[in-house]
Amino acid sequence: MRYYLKKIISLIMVLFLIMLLTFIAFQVIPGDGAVTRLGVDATPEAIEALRESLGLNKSLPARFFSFLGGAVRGDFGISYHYSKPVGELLAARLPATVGLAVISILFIVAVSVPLGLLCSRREGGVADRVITFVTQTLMAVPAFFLGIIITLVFGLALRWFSPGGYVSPGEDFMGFLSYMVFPAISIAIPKIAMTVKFLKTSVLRELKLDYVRTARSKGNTERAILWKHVLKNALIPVITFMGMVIADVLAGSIVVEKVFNLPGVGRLLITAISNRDYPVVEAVVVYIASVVLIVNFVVDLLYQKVDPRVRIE
Amino acid sequence: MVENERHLLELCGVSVGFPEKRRGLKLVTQGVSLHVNPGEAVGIVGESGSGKSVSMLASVGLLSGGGRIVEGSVRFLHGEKYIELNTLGQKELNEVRGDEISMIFQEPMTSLNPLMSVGHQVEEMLVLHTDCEAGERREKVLAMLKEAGLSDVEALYGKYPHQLSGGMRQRVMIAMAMILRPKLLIADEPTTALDVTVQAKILKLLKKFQTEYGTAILLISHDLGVIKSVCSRAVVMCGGRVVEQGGVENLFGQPKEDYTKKLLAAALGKENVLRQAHTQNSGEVVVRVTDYSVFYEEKAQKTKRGAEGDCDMAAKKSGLSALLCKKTRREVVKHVSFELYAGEIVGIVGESGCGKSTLAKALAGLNPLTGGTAFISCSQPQMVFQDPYGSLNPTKTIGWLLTEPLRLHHVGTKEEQRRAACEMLDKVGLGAEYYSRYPGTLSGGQRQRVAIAMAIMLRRRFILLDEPVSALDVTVQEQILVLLVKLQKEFGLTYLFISHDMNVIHRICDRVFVMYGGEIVESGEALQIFDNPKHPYTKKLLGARV
Amino acid sequence: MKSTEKKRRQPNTVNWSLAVGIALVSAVLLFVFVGLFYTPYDPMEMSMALKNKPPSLSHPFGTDYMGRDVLSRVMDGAGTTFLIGVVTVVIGLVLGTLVGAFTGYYGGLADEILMRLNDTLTSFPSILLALVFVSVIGTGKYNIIIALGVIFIPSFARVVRSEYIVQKELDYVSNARLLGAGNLRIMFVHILPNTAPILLSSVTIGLNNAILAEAGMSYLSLGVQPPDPSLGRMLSEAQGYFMSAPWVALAPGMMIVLTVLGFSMISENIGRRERDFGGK
Repeated sequence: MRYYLKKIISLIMVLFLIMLLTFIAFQVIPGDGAVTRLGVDATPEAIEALRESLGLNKSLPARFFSFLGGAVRGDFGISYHYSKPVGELLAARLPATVGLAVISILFIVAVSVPLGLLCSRREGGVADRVITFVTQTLMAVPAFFLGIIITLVFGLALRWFSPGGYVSPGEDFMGFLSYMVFPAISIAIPKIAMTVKFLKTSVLRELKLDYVRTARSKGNTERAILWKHVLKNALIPVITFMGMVIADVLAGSIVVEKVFNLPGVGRLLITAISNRDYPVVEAVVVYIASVVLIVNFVVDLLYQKVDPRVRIE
Repeated sequence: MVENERHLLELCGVSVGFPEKRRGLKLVTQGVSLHVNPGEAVGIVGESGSGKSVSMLASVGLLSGGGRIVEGSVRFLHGEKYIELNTLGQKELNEVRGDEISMIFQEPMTSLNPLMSVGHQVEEMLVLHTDCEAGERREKVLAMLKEAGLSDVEALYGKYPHQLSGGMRQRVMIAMAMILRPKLLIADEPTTALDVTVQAKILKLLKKFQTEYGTAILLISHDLGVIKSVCSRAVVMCGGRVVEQGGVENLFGQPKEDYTKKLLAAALGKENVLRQAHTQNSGEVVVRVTDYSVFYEEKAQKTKRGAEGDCDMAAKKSGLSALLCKKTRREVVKHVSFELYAGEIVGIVGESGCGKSTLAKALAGLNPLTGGTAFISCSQPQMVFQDPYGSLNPTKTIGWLLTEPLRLHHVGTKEEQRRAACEMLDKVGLGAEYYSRYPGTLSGGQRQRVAIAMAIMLRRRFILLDEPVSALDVTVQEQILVLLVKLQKEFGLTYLFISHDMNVIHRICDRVFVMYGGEIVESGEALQIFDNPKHPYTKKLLGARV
Repeated sequence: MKSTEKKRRQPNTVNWSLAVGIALVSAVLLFVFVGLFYTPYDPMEMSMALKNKPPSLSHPFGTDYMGRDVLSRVMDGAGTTFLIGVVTVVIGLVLGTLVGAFTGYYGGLADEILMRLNDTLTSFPSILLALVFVSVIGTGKYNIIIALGVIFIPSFARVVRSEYIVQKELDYVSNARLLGAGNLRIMFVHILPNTAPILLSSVTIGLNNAILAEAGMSYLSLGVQPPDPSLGRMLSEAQGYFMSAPWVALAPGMMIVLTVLGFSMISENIGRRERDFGGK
């Protein structure tokens, strides 16, 4: 129990540090939020009034703590560009990004585990060599280029979907899903290739170990060795790897959202950066950082669960 | 022919081949023929690479890397009939494996599945080969674990391999191998990874099962002592061929072949001491150690026995908390005092973990956490390490390595340094042509020669030898020991020779310290200690010997 | 017989894919090198008459929406992308090696803290960190180089550090110390060459990451800014004319794919060699 408590405390500490760093980073930037919002033509009085209401006149620590307090409540202030609460903007963009990430991860797990096992069972066989070649090539394709090709082939040539279209899940859930499928595929394919390769190496590495020889000497069939002995051992490094993949999926969605013109958090971030809309940038950074950290946290817990060697009594 | 019918296992002209990179096969054993009678204990002796393990693993189809039997046959008495193991289908082979032929291996840690509780691993045998109910299986496993000399078996059942000590793991392996009362147990170097005193217990256990259940044992080992204490018959292998076989008494009493004689000579230090005339001590003190202690600093975690790895991993994973760990000091060498005189070879003997290597490293100045005083008459003693693969930098040439100490101390010009290095190569029996070669192209023995040459380059009088021959084959050991004695005379060196091997110590040392638990429990002239040990621990160590 | 064949085939596959990797990378390098001195057309030259022309003999990769020659632009853009990749990897490599060597060799509290920070940073995808960086220091060729270079320091440091932690415990290091070598000499003369194989493989992976990150950022118009050409920017511009001129996107895209593929095939084989060597 103490172990989990320690982990949670360290998680919170890291989050706090990230918020502090983000805050400092956007304080050192030259430029004034009030000016950005009102434009350079605004009267000094109007700017001063806005500075007052935005809290820009307070001392740095005071501003940090009000930022922190707001962040905990989900309040990141007002967007300079949209003049709307940042929380509201973020909430509106979440469904597309979360949907995209979840569907991509489902694709990755559903496709790569069977493929990886198939490759390692028939090492050097035709299936293995074909899959190895294809995965190696696909790993080299950036998600956005894949997205462009998919748009070209399935959207423009075959007309299986209309590029650039989107409906919110509240309006038409099935329609929402159908708009998610192709972007999710373009994020998932390079990651599937990586996971297949990783799983395959992991299984093959395990198969060379002494305990597999012991299992054989006991009279196990090759099938039983793979499922009863090797698989669990081989999946341990894959857990950590999947944590990384999930973080990568989030990053991939930033770019792919632009390719497919989806109103997600990634697009929000890009527009915010171009517009120097710092409250929004801060909020998105904190949001993505939290997701990455929580994923890592869950990976650590899973690790504990699976591997008795790191288990704490 | 009639007698032949009774053999339990028969290898007839077995040649094992591994596929080569280019094409074709590389034969690692050629025409190996041997047999095992029911209930008999047979040993296979040989150095690494002699093909002793390979031929047995190939017989039961457990070779990895594509190795297989290319010639000959392996017959096994199955019920009334013989079956040919090398042509048997996978399914039939699986029925024989575990049930009638079981195996134990050298490394009990890696040979057990790290993610499966040991109870379940033993139980798997019953699941695979019997129709027992779950409850019955558990009973049987518990009984078997007890029989294998393990205590508190209820708790043990759910434990994982990393929570056990090496000896306990090997007992688990034995319990697993013996639970179905197989007709044949193949033990591949079962005690090599264990301490001497644990070794003896494990061998006793094997012997017990052999007599009690009539299980034939095929014991593969490089250690003549191990073979002698268990087997009645032995097969000597070298270079993939059987050199000689026969009853243990006969074979080791009157060996016929040169190779067997050589093996015996190297293994039996008693009759073959390398330094006859031990020049009585010169009186000149080279090293004086008084009340010397050595500490290790470690992260404070509840370090349970056999669970160190556990804490290590936990510390790594627990993030920031790792930063907050306090460090504790553990005393590894406890208040030892001794003197070494010029021209002496003094041995320190003890099991792994007794602090002998720690002591040597501390004397060389590699561990600053010491108490007491150590006076050494020459500056910076040199050291030769155990692992000839780790002690030479693989990215440098032999010449660079030998001239490095001269460069560091600004001795001579480049040309002189080069000449000195070549001379030294000659002295250690390698020759100047090794100057521009890389360590990767050398054998273990050759590397150890280079390591010795490096230690002598600076002409320090005192050299620490930390298990310098333990990683080498017996016949190579012999050559290195002879070289060490020769160099000692030539350069007037004083050696502190650390080893776990009583035979090696016996052959080369003038005086011996026996270390146990960080203390020197007995010391004296080598002859006196070997002929008349006083301390019970010394007796135990000697008793575990051939 | 089956297993024999299997074993025999393997080494051939290794060499074959290494050869393809080297061939791809050298072809790309040659292409970029030539592009430094000669391009068939001026990559900036616009021509309304030649707007969105499909590949032909005079324009092998076609022309874009401003009538510029795609081949010339790819040659030019690949140069920028490569330059950014190489410079960022050099920054990451040099500083990362220094940080990794010192922390790995000495250990201690500074090491613990730095590595915690490192672990946290490397758990974030590099493009995300680069975006944050760029939103603070601004976009453009040089800012991208700084951002990516700094972001690559932790991953190199991590690799070097873990290698140093292993190496410093080996007996050859103790031996060097006994012979009288000082810490700096041990770190950089004795240990450093031993990290070369693993560094080489990290460098190729790093180049890939840099090229992908630059392309991604320029595609999002947060990377290289006009008038500097880059493969990512070309893709971004091409997207608007996708229906009428798909070739404008395909050429730079394929260029990225082939480069990354080549490097990953090389690093794969270096990695495999290293493992074989270690297993021995």
